[in-house]
Amino acid sequence: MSGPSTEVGTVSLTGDLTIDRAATLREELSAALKNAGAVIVDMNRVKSIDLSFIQLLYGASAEASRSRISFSLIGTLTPEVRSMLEIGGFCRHAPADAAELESVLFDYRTGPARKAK
Amino acid sequence: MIERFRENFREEAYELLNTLEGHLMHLEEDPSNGEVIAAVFRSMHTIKGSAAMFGFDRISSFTHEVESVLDLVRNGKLSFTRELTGLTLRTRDHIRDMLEAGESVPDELNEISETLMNEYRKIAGTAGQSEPKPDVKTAPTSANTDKEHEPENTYLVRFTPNATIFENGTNPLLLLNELKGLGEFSCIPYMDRLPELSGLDAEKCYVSWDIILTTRKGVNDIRDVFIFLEDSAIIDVKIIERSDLGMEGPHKLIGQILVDRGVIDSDSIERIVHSQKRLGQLLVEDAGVNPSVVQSALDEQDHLERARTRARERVQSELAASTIRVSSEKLDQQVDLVGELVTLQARLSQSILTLGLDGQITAIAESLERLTAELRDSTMSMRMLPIGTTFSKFKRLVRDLSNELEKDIELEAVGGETELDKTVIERLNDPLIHIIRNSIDHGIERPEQRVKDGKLRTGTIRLAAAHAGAFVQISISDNGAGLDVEKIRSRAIERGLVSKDVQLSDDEIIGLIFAPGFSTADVVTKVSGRGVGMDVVRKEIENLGGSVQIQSQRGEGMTTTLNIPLTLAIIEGLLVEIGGDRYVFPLAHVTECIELTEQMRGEHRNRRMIENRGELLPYVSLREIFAIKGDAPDIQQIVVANMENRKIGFVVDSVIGDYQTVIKSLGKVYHDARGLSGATILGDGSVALILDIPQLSQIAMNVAETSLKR
Repeated sequence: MSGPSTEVGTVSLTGDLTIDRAATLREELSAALKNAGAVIVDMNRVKSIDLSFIQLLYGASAEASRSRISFSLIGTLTPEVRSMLEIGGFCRHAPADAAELESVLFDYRTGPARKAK
Repeated sequence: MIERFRENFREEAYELLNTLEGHLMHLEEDPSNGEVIAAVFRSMHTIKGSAAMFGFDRISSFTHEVESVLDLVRNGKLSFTRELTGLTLRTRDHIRDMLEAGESVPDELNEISETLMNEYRKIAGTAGQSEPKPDVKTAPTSANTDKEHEPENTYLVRFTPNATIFENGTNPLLLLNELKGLGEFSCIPYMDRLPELSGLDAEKCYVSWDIILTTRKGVNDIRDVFIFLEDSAIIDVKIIERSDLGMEGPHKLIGQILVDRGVIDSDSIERIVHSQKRLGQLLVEDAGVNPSVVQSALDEQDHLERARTRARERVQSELAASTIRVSSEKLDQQVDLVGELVTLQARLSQSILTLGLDGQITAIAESLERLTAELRDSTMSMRMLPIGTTFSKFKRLVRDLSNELEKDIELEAVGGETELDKTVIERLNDPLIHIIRNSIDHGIERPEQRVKDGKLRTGTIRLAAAHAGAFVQISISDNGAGLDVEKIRSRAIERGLVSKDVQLSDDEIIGLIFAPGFSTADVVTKVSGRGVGMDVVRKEIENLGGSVQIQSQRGEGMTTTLNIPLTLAIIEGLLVEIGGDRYVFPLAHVTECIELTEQMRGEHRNRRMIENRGELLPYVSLREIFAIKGDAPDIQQIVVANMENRKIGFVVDSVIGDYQTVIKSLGKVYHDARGLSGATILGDGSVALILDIPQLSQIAMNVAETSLKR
């Protein structure tokens, strides 16, 4: 297959996305970014996350942005996930859902980690 | 001696329990309100501490267990679920029961303690399983509370983990969470070292943080959080604001913060400030400052602003709390004394007038009069309490009773800050409970019925208080079914309260539920279900010098409005004379005074009616009601009183003028005296009787009716 793909790759994440699985998750995300023109990360079944996963998301989002690949997050976030994002200061308030997290990632790509007031 | 302290402790504990109840009700609506959670914790902590001090060991050990669960909530490890609120409410009641039991706590109370504690343990246990285990060293709760009086400082903590920090199993986010537990916390991650995914090592850490923390803890406590990271992170802690210094100054400007941090020099800031764009934006564009740094500075500014606001609020609340406890008995005594003083001052003014003295002594008397008035007002204000203190009790009532009746009811309370005399508030308690119970029991329909009627599932009872002149108006409305006028009417006929042929307006029929015969349980269940003890309610309110009105709309709900005088101790009165004796009308009931001449009496065929402002005004002679001997003067006065929108005239010999009336009770001997509510001592030392206008109006109505029938 040559030229940019128009295919949509969905990465469905499940369970605890912690350091033990970080390397595998990185490969999954990497593969999706290589093979698809648009990536959707489904976070519906994610139970918990740690910093390693947040880094992966930011890294993937930055790479997608440079390669002009659409990168979206979908799904409802569990309270554990939301509170980790809030505690780390990645979102000013715990994000209601993945779409809100996505806009935080978008802000990161276009400016400071959080928008200045 | 110790007994007295114990008594004080008990009083204080009761008060704390009441506050606790209010806070718990608040939490039921807003379970994540940190301030309220902290207040709940503090109440429990204070009860525990003082209970131990005064030898209430059972209470102390019980509350200790409760406190440790509440601490989990305070530290964000547990949340205030409905279940936990309910449990804590029961705990509150249980502590009250133990207080009442005193030293010898009966076995059954100890059993309840055990049950409650088990329930807490269960809740705490589930929290332990689902939540990340806190680091052992952060747990001590007593340390937290002991530090309550330490000054609060704001720190900037720079946390730069080494790239390899994950290797030893450290989760930086959990450390941040621990810091968060120390106080008001905000943080900003620096992500600029983070590469794109392809260049990213998933097992390395790229993020660092600026954390701004306002806490009572010291630098060492903060460093302790990172104690196991000695070699795997750079930790830099510095104080950026002390709460005991410079609270009054302006907030730090972002430029200042950056200069302080050594990011930029003040000249560059100066240059940039003079251009039009926002500073943050310019710093990024022109000065090449990392956007995250600007964001972090903005956060610091924000954080300090919040911390100061909180500190200010706390100072205010501490000020508000700097009160002393005075027994209400002493206050009553004070009011009595001020009453005497008011009387004496009136005598002085009157003597000066009769003796024809003037000059210096008049000036002194006038100053004394002013001073007395101020003293009177300030003394009365000491007995004023916001009515909201009782509102939270009603929230509890609604909560418990609606659960019991399987109804869905919300209590909305507004105007809780409205102040009323303490005695009045106490005496309002029962009537209000009565009315609210009625609304819950019979007013609000079951949820299914409400849905069927196209109403919201949840019924609302609204409790509102507001000042209206010398009165406080309290209204209790519900959006339930309202009164069934037809049923009340037929029941009243059945009970012989009205005759079948009489045509009554809806308002008049609703008024029937105040009739004494209308308040039996039988009526409650079989007829309208309303009117439980409404006669008692009315009587109590009238004893307070107030009045009750009911408005009802079938299907839409009803509103009971109580008009209550602000105070019971001193009232504005209108002094009148009949047959050489003096009487006082409470001025609040008086609308006007008119002359009654012999000629006016002749009109309307001696029917005791005069025409006033285009209306017929019925009048009665107080001379006759009180059987006062002697002849009335040719020209008498009618004092027109307004009772529940009906005007009635009372004939007196003459009107003397307004009078500050210090109410004295008539004592038990005269408690049967009809038409009188008390007495007062006049300036010349003689006694004047205070007229009970609601009762007199009732008597007057009966007199007027008999005279019409004649």
